Amino acid sequence: MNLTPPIFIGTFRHSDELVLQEIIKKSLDCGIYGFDTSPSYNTEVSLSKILNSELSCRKIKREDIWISDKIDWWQMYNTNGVISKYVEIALQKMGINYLDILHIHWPFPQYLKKTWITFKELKDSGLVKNISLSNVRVRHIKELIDSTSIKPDFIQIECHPLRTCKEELTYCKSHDIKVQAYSPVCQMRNEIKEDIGISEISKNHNKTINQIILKWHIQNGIIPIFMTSKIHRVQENCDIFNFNLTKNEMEYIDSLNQNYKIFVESICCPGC
Amino acid sequence: MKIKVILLILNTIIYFFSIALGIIITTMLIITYILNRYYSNVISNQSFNFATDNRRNFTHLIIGNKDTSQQYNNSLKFIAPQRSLYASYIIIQTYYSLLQEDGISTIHITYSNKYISNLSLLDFRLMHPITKAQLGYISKSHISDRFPFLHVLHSICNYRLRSKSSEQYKITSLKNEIIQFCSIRNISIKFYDTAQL
Repeated sequence: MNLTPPIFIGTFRHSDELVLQEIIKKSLDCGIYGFDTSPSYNTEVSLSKILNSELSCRKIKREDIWISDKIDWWQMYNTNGVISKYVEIALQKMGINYLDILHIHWPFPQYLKKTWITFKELKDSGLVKNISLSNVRVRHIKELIDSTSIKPDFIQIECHPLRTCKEELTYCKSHDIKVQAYSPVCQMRNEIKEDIGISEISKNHNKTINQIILKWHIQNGIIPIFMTSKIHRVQENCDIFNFNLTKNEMEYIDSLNQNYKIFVESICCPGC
Repeated sequence: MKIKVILLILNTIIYFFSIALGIIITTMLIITYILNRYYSNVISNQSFNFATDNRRNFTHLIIGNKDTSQQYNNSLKFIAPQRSLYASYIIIQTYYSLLQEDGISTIHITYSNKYISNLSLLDFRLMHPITKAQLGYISKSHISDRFPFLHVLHSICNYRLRSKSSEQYKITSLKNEIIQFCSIRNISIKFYDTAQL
């Protein structure tokens, strides 16, 4: 299976390996084959250990699952953007031959271009199948394409009903760039959880608010990445392919946008 | 006999001196601890922790060495005495995403011609680790980070903490950089020379 998984499991804040193991097992049971990690999450090793074990038990091929990793700020800083050695180290400690997606976690302006060029080299060498930018705006993508002629395969951004990122979505659709959304339900803030309109939609379809929002992402062509420590949530979040939101329902959820960011871009990446 | 008396007197003096010294040192440590806590609180009140503070989409960001005379609703302030224009620029680059988008928000910068490019502990505390590293301020090994009171003593002795690699800017070129930075991000900007406030 080479198709991009429609949903990914995030491992941010997963400090307990036993819990992560249960989540991954359940994800594989439910047909979720995409997994996201990062050096700053401290889950690279645990994720790969669990996956390698599950793959051999279930007789699933490596090419059937997607593992995405990131390059963090300190790696860009230490190498002035020439980050290949960190990717090689990650592959070695994870016991895998390649990464399905490699993201630049935050687009630090001083190192972005060099890092991006190194990303392309890694892709050409086969160590990385897809290259991606995370936490970017359209101007970052445009600038990078203009200066390096290297188009990202993916972007990964914070996107949810309170931050719909329409500009980024429109641009990426027109340039054949896939979009992944982290914090896809905005940590279920009250503005979403207590919204009367979303509750109505949820009742109409007999689905939870979580499921409604994830479906909204899917119908927008976005790949949501959700993190959970609850097994039942994995099952619930996969059960979103047996209904469709109407155009009005989609537009209603779009209308909740207030450009609310959980992760304040400039604090995480000054000057971005 | 005389020697014994002298020794006894000496012992007594040393004994009471030791006690007095112990009391003085303990008192100084307690005062230092209290002052250090006080300055740590002053510094942490200056910062914005986005993980615990849910406020976003401010319409005004007021930054610099003095507050503006006008009060603004929905504003965020980063004011510190003697804050340089360069420090304000670095802080803008770090906190501008807290502002509302789509051309609605304004940054108000107060500055003085006396302080153009120096950086202080209050500025460093607001910076991302990568910015601190680029400026040569390694917070883990820097005593001022853990004991800000020592930095205050430094300042009292008129020795300001200077970055190892801060460039010498001219006000005009720095203002132009700030204007360009904000223009790309569709943020309005206003400068206030505090000599005229």
